[in-house]
Amino acid sequence: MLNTQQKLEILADAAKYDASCSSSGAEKRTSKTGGLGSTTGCGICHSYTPDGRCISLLKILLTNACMFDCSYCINRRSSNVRRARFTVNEVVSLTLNFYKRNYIEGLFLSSGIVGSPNYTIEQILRVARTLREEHGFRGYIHLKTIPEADPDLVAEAGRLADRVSINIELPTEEGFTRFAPEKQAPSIRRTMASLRLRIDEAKAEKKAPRFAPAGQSTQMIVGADGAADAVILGTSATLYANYNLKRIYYSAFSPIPDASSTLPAQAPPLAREHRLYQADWLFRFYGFETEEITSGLPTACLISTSIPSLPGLCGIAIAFPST
Amino acid sequence: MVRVSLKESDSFEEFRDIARGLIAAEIAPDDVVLEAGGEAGLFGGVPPLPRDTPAFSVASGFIEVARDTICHRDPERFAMLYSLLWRLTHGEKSLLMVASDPLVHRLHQMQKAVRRDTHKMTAFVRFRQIADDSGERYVAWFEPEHHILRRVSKFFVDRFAAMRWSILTPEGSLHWDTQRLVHGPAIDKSHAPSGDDFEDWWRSYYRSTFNPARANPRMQRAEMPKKYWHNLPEAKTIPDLLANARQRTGRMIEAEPMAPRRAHGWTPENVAQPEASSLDALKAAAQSCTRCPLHKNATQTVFGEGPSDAPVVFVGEQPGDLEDLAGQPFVGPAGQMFDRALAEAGIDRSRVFVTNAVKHFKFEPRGKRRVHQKPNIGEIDKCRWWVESELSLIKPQFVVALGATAARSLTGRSVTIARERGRLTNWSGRAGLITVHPSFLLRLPDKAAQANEYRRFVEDLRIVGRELPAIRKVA
Repeated sequence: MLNTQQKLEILADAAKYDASCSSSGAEKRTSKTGGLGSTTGCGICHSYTPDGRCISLLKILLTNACMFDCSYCINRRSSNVRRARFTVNEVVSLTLNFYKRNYIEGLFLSSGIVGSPNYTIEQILRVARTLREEHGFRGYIHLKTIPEADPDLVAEAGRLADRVSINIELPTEEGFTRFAPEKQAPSIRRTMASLRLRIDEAKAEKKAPRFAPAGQSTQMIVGADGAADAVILGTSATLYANYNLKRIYYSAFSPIPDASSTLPAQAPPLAREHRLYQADWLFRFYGFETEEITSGLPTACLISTSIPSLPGLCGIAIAFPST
Repeated sequence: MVRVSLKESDSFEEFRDIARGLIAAEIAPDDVVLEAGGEAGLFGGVPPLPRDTPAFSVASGFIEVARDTICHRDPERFAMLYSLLWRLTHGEKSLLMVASDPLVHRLHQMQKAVRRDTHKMTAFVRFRQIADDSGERYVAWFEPEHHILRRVSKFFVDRFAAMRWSILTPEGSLHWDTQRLVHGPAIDKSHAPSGDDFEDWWRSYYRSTFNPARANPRMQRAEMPKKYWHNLPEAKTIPDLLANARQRTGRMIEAEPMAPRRAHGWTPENVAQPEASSLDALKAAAQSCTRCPLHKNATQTVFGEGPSDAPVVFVGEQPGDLEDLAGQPFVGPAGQMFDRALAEAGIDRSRVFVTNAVKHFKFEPRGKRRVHQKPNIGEIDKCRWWVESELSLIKPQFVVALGATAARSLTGRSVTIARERGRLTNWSGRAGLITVHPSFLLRLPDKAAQANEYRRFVEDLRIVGRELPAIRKVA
């Protein structure tokens, strides 16, 4: 039998490949009228691990058992990784105890798929409901939604959480077929579409029930399949336009214990990940089109030489009067 | 030379009162020494100037700079702020805009340092739980770089209002009893609790969430400078984590793949398959259509909707933005206009089937928006298979083409709408009619033209109603 601390080690390790950590964008709340916790709107990074990434939320899985067999994932069905499963109360107690000591801004809860999509999301919702309703928790909650889950359950996730997300992981449909044969790209997109409609509706009408005020986000893995940067950025542009995502996280594919033999065993392409974030930034905040960023790239990649410059962006720099 | 000693090290109000007196007395910065009581050093305190001097206005921005920089540790801060105030009120009204001025630059740097220190304090305070007679209580020891204790208190009160807590620092302390905040004197570190059972759990989490393949200690130190480490329970694990990172990563890269674990796979719940020849079956099959590339960027196939025995089928162009998200045809602005026109023409909406010539939304992403694009002939022709299948299952008495794309799909040729609209015709043995697409009406910029075209559209729909009494609304 695993004790709770051992479970914490396994289920934090299982969740760390999700790059999302943001605790921003929630409406401002305080605990002055009761309950525990607050949100300031811009989020706080409470610590930094030696990889330079921040710890803002307690990022864990409810269980790392999973019925899917996605090659890139440490928790895939055929992996020999040790399995664990938290009870609802274990997660609730961990969250509250960490929060009261000012270690975290809140909880980011995800899970392997067990039983069925509805069953899985119901377990996630039980944690969020207990925190919000029994303990008056007013800190940040980010919930992963599960595609194919019942719309009523997804609606409840949006009511309880500040942010919801669903990871697309692979930038192309060919990637899905090869590396995540049981996942359906269309059903992920449908889920994102229904989240968008609900978020828009809640924003448009004051009286509408609350729905994920910090919006939705997603993640794409970089360097697991063969997708070039231009392809990745094209998928990003479509996803931003289609679903009004708050942001897309790019996660350099990282070696994992007991990796699948179908994937590259190599150091994570961190420089490439960094360039993608820069390109994404140009796209979101400076209004560049993806073609402007990627045209002129000899190999459709942002890094083609050892010189860390963006060939495509050099073209832009020339086009703009910079002096 | 005037010497003024301030009682508080972080009080904007006290500084403001004194500065008003000095300005009123026309005492130039060079003729005054300003310092906080505790920091007075060699100089003795001199009683402050009379305070009932008149207020005056000063460039906006000064107060914000002053409120922030007064909390800075630099003993010169009061003198610098008074110099700034003096110059602002003596001919340099816009001085704060001159970022290159050495004084302005320095004060902005100090402002940034204070804000950063404040933010880092909200992040890095670590409470330890103790128990006393009234229950649990949380106590933290923290060493801020600047005099920020007062300004940071609101954050902790807002967040932990229902908890009893204290924050001890070398310069003072904060105590909250769930109702009232008390600013107390400095309390020695030895009075702070030395540990907490949950710190071991926190370190477990910290170790596990670290990815050794991404080790980047420089980045870590930039965000979490070493000066904070000695009060962070997790920081003692850092050296070991870094020392082992390379090895752990190497082992993961070099490890021979293990035999995959055998486990039961994913079996989707048995969904009752609709009858092969029904409209529902056709709809289900259409969901995975990849006949043309439009499926790649669209959310989903938007299939037709309506009764399977509808006497009339309306065929539009393609789903729009909202239709693509919702998965239903005719729910966007054009769909609403269509509904209105149908009602005006006296047609019962619930008796008609609506669908599109092309079942995926074709668009160009532009930032956060999607710009509609007309489907090309290849896409229309590829999708025609679905339209034909819908029609052959429904077997309507009448088909209406809304716009050129639908007309192309139904007739197989290019149609000029203006020439052929509003006439009863017959194609491949089906009675039909061509009219405009409601989105054409929405695009007309001129209100009068729009009203006129709308009337013509309703007229065309009335023709359909006359042909099919069964779909007319019962008055």
